[in-house]
Parts: sequence; C-alpha cells; structure tokens
Amino acid sequence: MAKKTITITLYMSELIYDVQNKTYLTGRSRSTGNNHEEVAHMQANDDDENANQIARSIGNAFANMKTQLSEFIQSAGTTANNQLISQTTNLSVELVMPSNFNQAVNDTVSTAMHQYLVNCAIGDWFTITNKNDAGDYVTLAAANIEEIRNAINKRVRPTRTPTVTNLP
Amino acid sequence: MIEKKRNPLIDFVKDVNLSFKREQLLYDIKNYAFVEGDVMQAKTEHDRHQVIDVGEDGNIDRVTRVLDLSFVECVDLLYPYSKKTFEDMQESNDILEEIETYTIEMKVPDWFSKTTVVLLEKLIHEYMVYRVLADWMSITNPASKANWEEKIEDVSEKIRGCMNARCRRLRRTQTPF
Repeated sequence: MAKKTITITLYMSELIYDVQNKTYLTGRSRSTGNNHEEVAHMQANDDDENANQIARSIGNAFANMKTQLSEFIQSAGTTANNQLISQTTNLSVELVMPSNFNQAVNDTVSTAMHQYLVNCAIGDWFTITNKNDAGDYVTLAAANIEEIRNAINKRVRPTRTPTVTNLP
Repeated sequence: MIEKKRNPLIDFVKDVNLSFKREQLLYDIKNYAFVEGDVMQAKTEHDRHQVIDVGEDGNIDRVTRVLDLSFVECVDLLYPYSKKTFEDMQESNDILEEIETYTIEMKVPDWFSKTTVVLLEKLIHEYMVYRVLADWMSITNPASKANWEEKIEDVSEKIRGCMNARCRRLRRTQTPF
C-alpha cells in the first residue's frame, strides 16, 4: 500500500512571536506595581541572549518531538550536531504515514506541534525567569505531545469498490 | 451384447474450481481489523493503530504469508476432492509472492451439489479471513485471539460437515466375499 507523506512546516516567526506574546501577557498579569524588574525579565524579547535561549529551547523541543514520532519519520542522515537553530529558518518535518492515515487530523497535528514547541520553550524560559509558572507549561507540553500521538494514530475505515456478480 | 462398465474414477467426475480474490480477502481483513481496533479497550492510540494497520506496508507481508498458509490448509481440508498426485507438483519454495487469485481445483463426483460448492466457497473465504485475523491479533491484541480461533474452529467444522453430508449413500454388499 502506498504511504502518505505529510509535510508539516512550523514557521519560526510564528513560534517566536507566540513565545514572546505569552511571556509578555504573563508578565503583565503578574505585575503588582512593585515588581517591575521581575516582570521585565519574564517578557522574552529579541535581544540576543533572550532570542538564543528561546531558539535553543525550540530546537530541543523539536528534536524531542521527532523522537516521539520516529515511527513515522524516515531519515538517512549520518551526522548531527548541537548548533543553535536559526531564528529565520522554518522547521519542517515529513511524516511518512500508512495509507489509511486519517488526513482530517493534519491541522490538529500541526497545531499541537506548534503548541508543544511553544510550551516547551516557555517552560524553559520561566524556569529561569518565573519559576512559579514554569510547571504549568511543562504540563501543557506533555498534554500536547499526547495530543499529537492521539491524532497521528487516527485511521480511516477501508473502502471497497463493489463488484457486481451473478448469484449462483 | 456386453455393456461397457463405467469407471467411477473417470466417468463420474467433474472439475470444480473455487477462486478467492486477494483483494476481496484483504478488504474483509482490513474491515474487521478496523472494527476490532475501534472497539478494543486500548491504553494508547498506538495500540489501536497497530491492530487497524493490518494491511499496511510491512504488515501486509505477514498477512500474505498467513493467507498462503490458510489456503493450503483449506486445500488439505478438502483432501478427498482436491488431492493431486506427486507428479503434478513441480517445485515448491518459500519465496513471498502476492497471489492475486487463490484457486482450489477439485474433482468432485457428478452428483455433487452446486449448492454445496457455493457453501464451501463462502466457508473457505471466511476461514482464510479468520485465520489471518487470529494470527494478527496474536501479535497486536492477544485478548482477542481466542475469539478468532473459535471462529476458525467453527468454520472448519462446517467445512468438514459439509463434505461429509454430501457423501453418497453406501450400499453394503450382501456378503463380504
């Protein structure tokens, strides 16, 4: 049976924006009027040290996600390295799915992947800047990976072409 | 005038072929596996998809092996009508091939009923499907294996019964000598 190749592209700009936006909103919500410095630290921005940390977290999460989905990923690569991923290169993953894979869940998979990477990155970021909220994002990320697994294992019912024959 | 006696081994025999299309067998196998996977109590979706993916790449090779095996089991079940002399068998090997149509060639007595042939064809189709599912469940969902094996036993019994029921009445001679 022919396999189905599903290509999922995750735009770095969307991932980084989501991380920055969520950390900004969290910082704003945690503001008491007296903790200006803490709030500022929570809010990730484009400064090199912030951006590099976020990129590192996204790269780690992406690698972990591929491990979780290794059953459906084919790669002939023979080398790997720890170079920081580029903040301008989009992340792409090709899932080689069985022919009965239910493609209705493509959007669910891409959305859950986005959420997983963002939640992992924020979990890492808050481990440094806002420990009280870090655990929530780690929990969310775990739920996201489960959601990806559930979606990716959805199958469609087989169909047949009716054959008309004369009854004996 | 001496009437030539008819030879029951030649004159009363008809050729009957039972054909089973792989495509039809596979559809049933995949369909039942889908339902089985859908209703099973699975810990994870991964367990479920392993049951459902019976017809997918890699898995299909196991299915082919078991289909081949179930086919020869059926030929053997029908031994009185399907037997072949050793000379007919040119070569046998274990190369995996996808046979598009499985055909059982039978030589049946001319009084053999067509309804029995139709019944046999239906039963053998079921047998082959159940045989594959029992094997597949033994790997992916062991809790369900016994259910399919029970079906195999049931359908095998029907095939045997069907053959016996159609045997001609025996007439005993007045004397054994």
